[in-house]
Amino acid sequence: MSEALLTDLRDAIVNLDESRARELASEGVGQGVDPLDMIQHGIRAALDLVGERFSAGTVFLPELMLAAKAADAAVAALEPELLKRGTRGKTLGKVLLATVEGDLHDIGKNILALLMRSAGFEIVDIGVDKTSEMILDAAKKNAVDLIGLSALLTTTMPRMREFIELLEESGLRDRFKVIVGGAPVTQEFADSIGADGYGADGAAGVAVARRSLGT
Amino acid sequence: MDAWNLRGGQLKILAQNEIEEIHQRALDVLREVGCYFEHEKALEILKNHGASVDSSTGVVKFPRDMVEEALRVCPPSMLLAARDPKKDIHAEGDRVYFGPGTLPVKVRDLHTGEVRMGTLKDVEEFARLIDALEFIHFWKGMLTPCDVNQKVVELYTARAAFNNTTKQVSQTPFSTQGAIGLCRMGVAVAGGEEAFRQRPMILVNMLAVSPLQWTRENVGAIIALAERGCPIIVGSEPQGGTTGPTPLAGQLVLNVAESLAGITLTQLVRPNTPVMWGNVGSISDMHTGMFASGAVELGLINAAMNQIAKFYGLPTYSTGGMSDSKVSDAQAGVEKSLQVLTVALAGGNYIHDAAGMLETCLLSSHEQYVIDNEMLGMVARVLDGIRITPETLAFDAIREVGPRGNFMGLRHTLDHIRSEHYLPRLFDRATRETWEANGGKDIREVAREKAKEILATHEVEPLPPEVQEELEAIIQEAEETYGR
Repeated sequence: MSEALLTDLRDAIVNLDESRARELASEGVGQGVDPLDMIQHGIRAALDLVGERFSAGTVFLPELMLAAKAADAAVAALEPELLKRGTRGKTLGKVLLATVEGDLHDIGKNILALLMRSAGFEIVDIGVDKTSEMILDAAKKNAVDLIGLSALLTTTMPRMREFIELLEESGLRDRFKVIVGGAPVTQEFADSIGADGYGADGAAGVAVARRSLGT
Repeated sequence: MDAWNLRGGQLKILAQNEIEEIHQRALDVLREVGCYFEHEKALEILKNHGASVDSSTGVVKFPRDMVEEALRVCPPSMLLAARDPKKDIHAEGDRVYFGPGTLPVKVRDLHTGEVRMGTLKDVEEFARLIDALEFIHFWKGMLTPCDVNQKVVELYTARAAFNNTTKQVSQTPFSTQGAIGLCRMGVAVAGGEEAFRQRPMILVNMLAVSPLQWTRENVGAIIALAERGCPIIVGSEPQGGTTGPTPLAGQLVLNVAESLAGITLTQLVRPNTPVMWGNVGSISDMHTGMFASGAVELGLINAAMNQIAKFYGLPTYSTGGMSDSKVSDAQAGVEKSLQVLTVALAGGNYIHDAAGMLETCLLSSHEQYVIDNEMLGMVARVLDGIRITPETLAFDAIREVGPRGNFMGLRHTLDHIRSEHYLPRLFDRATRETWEANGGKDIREVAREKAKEILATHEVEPLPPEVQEELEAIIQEAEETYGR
C-alpha cells in the first residue's frame, strides 16, 4: 500500500504535477505513512531523478523548477504531520544566498538556488543589493552553514572582499563557509579574497557547496 | 566599396502587420502590467505627465498616448562625432556601422597566450588596435580594466579610448555619477558645451534590467544625460527563457515595452533628447540558465528589433558578433558571422559586440579583432550588393571576349576589381604548397602577427594637453567625491 503511494508521489513530482503531489502527500498522512518516508522515498527520490536527468542534459531548467514546486507542495501538505511528530527532514546543509550591494542582477543567483534546493540543500535567499552587514545578520539569524554571494558587475565584485573582511573582523570567519560566483568572477579572484569556493555556473556552484561542507 | 557608407535593410524578418501587433502588445504591457522605476524623481515626472504611479510598489503604468507622443518627439537621426570628423557616425535610416563589445574583463595576452585579467594598458592598446582596423567604425567599452578604482573605472576607460583612437567613443557607466562624468568628458573633448551640442563626442548606454525594471542608477543617469542633451542608448536585454519569454515574439514585446518605458522618460525630461533604440536581447541556454551570447536567435531578435525601431523612426543600437567559444575557433567564426550578417542586413545602425570578444563577452582578444575585421569587411561587401548598370551588366565586355576567350586582359576587368571584389586583408587563398612554404600558419597566428605589427607601428595623436588636463581633473574630482 505505502510502496504504491510512494511510487505515485515520486511519479507525480517527476511528471511536474503539483496538485497530484499535494493530494498524494495528504493521502499518505491519512493512511498513516511516515512523512519522513514520504520525504525520503517519494519527494527526495523524485528530485534526485529529475536532477540526474538535468545533469545528463535531457531536461531543462523549467522542469527542475516545476519539479521543485511540486515537491514544495507535497512537503507543505506534510508539515502539520511533521510538526505533530516533532520530526524534520534532513538536508545537506543550510545555505544563505545574496546578490551584493549595488547589484540588482539576480537570475544567476536564482538558478543556483534552484539547483541547490534540488540537490537537497535548504536555501535562504535574501535577494539583491544586500550590504555586508545585512548578509551577516541574516546568516547569523538563520544559523546557515554556507554563504553564497553573487555579482554581475565588476564594480560590485569588491563587496565580496569586504564581506569576507567583515567576517574576519567579527571573528566569524570560521563559522561560515563562503562561496562566490557571477559572470566576471574568476577562481583567481575568489582565491585572492580568501573565499572557500567558486563556481563558474550553477552546477559547479552546487559541487563547490558540497565540497565546502564535506557532503 | 566605401567602408564609411554601408547600408543594410535588405532583410525583413517581420511583415508590417506583425510589427504593428508587437507594438500593440508592448503598449498593452506598459498600460496593464507596467514597469518598475526605482527613482523618486522619475516617478514624479512620469506621474506629472499622466502615467499611473503606484508609489508603494514603484510600478508605473503608461497611457498609450503618452508613449506615442514621446516617440513623436524623438529625433530620427543621431550624429555621433569622432575626434576625426571623417569618422563621424551618422546613425539613421539603414546606415550600418560596426564596433567592438562592451564589458569583457579578461584578455588573451598577445605575447604569452595566457588568459588574464585586463588592465588599463590593455585598454589603450585595444583602442590603438581598432583605430587601425578599417571595418571597425567606433569604440565601445572593449574592456573593463581591473587595475583602476572600480568606482570610477568608466572614466579611466573612456580617457584611454579618447587618447588612443580618433574614432567615435561610447562607454557604459556603472552609476549616475559615472554617466555625468562621461558626459563631461565628451564636452571637454568637443571643446565646450556649445561645441558638444553641435558635435556630441560621447554616447552613453543605459539598459533596463529585465523583466520590466529600471534601476536607480540607470534612471538617474538617463535623467542627468537627457538634461545635458547627451546622446543616450536606451534599451534592454531580456534573455529568452530566464528574464524574458521563450517565444522570440514575446521577447520582442518585452524588449519593446522596456525600451519604450525608458525612451518615454527621456523625452519627458527634455523633448528631442537624442535617443538610440537599444537591442541587446538574446536567449539563455536552458540547460544552465547562462547567457547564450553566440545564439543564432540573437541575430533574428536583433534583426526584428531593427525593423521595429525603423517603424518608430529611431536610430538603432544593435548587437551581433558574439560567441560563447573560449578560443578563436570554428565555433567563434560561425556564431559571429551569422549574427553580424543577419543584423547588418536588417540595417542595424550601430552594431556593437561585432568584434573581438569571446567566452560569452568575458574575453577580449587582439587576434580575434583582426580576424573579425576581415569578417566585417566581407559582411560589408554583402551589404554593398550588386550594382546593375549597363557598364556592370557588361554586355560590351562579353561581346568583346566572345565564345572561348577570357576576361583577364580586359580594361573593363581591371576597372572593376576593386569596386566589385572584396580583397582579403588576412584570409589565405593560396595553394597548400605556397601556404606551407610561407610557414603553414593557422589564421590565428597570422592575425596575432598583424596585431603585433599594428601595435608596433600605428600611432594615434593624443588629445591636446589642455583637454588632457580637463579629463584628469574630471577623474580626480570623481575619485575624491564618489570614488572612495
